[in-house]
Amino acid sequence: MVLAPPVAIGSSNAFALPLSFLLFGVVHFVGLNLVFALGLSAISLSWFRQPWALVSTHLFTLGYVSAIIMGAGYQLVPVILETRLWSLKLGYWHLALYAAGVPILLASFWRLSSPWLVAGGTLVAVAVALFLVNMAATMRKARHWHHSATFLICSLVYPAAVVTLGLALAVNLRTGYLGASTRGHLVIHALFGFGGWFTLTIMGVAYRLVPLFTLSHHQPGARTWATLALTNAGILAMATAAGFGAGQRWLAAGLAVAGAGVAAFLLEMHQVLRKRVRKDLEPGMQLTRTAFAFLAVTLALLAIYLAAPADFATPARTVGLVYVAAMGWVALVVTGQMYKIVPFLVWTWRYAPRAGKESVPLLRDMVDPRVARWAGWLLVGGTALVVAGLWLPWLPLAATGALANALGALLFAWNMADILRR
Amino acid sequence: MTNRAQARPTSPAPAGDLTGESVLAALQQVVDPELGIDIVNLGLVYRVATNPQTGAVEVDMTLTTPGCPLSGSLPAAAERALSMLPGVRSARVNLVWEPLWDPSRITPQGRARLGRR
Repeated sequence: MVLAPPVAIGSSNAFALPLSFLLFGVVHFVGLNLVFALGLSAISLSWFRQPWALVSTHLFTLGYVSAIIMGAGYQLVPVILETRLWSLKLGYWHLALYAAGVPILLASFWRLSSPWLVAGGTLVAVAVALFLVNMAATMRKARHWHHSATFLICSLVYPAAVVTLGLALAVNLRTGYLGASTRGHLVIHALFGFGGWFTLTIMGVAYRLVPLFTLSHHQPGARTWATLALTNAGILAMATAAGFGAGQRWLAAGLAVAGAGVAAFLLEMHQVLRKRVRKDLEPGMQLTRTAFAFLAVTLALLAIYLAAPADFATPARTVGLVYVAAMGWVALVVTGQMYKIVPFLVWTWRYAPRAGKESVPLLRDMVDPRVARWAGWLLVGGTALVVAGLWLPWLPLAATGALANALGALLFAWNMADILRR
Repeated sequence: MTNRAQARPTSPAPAGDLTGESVLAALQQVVDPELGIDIVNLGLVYRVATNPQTGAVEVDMTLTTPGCPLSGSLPAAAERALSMLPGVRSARVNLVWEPLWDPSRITPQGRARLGRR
């Protein structure tokens, strides 16, 4: 028997690494929604140097989204670039340091305890650095380049800056050495995290996976470069404006440039979805499509926020704005794609060696669609209620939404655990 | 003697009769786990060559996109399916990218399973 040369990809014993990150993320997603629901009234009054807000934000950014992006990166980046992961061992070091650093950091945010904050932050920073080195070395070995990879390179520059700024802000919590520039640093930290790290990564992956999963006749083309250039330029312009303490007008100008990039991305995704052969979207892709709508809503609310008089920007509205970007855009895409990534990993691990010899389940057979639909409705409806409740402002509405999101997160986690059992 | 077959779905051939049709019937047992369609109806099989004297089978197949997450699994599954075919002594599956696959290669049966209106 002559075997076909292996085209792919990661080594067969490498599934535990991405899966560990993905499960770490799911646990923190549940934790995030429970903490946010419990701390909502405190967060809506004040988010600055506020333990509930700090813990919720970092449960979301480090515990959920970054863990999922990095775990999925170990699986998908070698696949997309048709090469192998540079070092699996380094990946496990990354996992160990990250899994130790994030809980320390979260516990220190709760107590606003600076020494442990710096210790946890350093562990996370070293862990992220190991990931970046591994990804950069993997990318260098790429057999074929794809425009998704260019997005990923850009998106890898941002976490380095985000983590460095985060460490500076952690030290500042104790010493206050940043003085009046603290808020500027905070804005750049958030912009680079949400805009550079999360959004550019998601866009790059979406250009690759959405046409693949929907079997679209439309393949993203020249507009991808416009998206990359405009989004990056807008993020950097806003960061510069925040760093130099420039007024709202400069921030708005940067937002307009980034918004044009995002609009080009949304237009491309609209074309991809319109020209898809696969008409019936599964729960994961439905969530992803809804997240694209929330991205447009995020930009609209951000424009209103910047254009309105200063007293419009209450803590509740600021939290609502961050929430729609976090839970409406980033979390829904990530959650939606988890319905693809986790079944795929388990299938490849458990069933791929038997495919061709016997009947094996399809990926969609591994997800409970009824639970996935309920989780989706709760997460989408809950996010809309939280944002509406914080902007109106009417706290009972926001609290109802936060509760719905907590239930949605629990159902989502149940579905992920169920996939592992199948 | 070598038989070559265009990749079209077919009905199962009698055991021991190593033909292009029997190879395609075996490959129809290999299903893309993401789409739920076999690789023949998905239009991924480009060429089939058989040699009944030596029991050799060679298949050229592609995937829906380069860098497809299933690039490690589907060719191996196709090779396993071929190795179980009566009369096959050696099977080779080549992964090719010319011409690039596009959705127009899906057969009408495949489109029906995708729910195309």
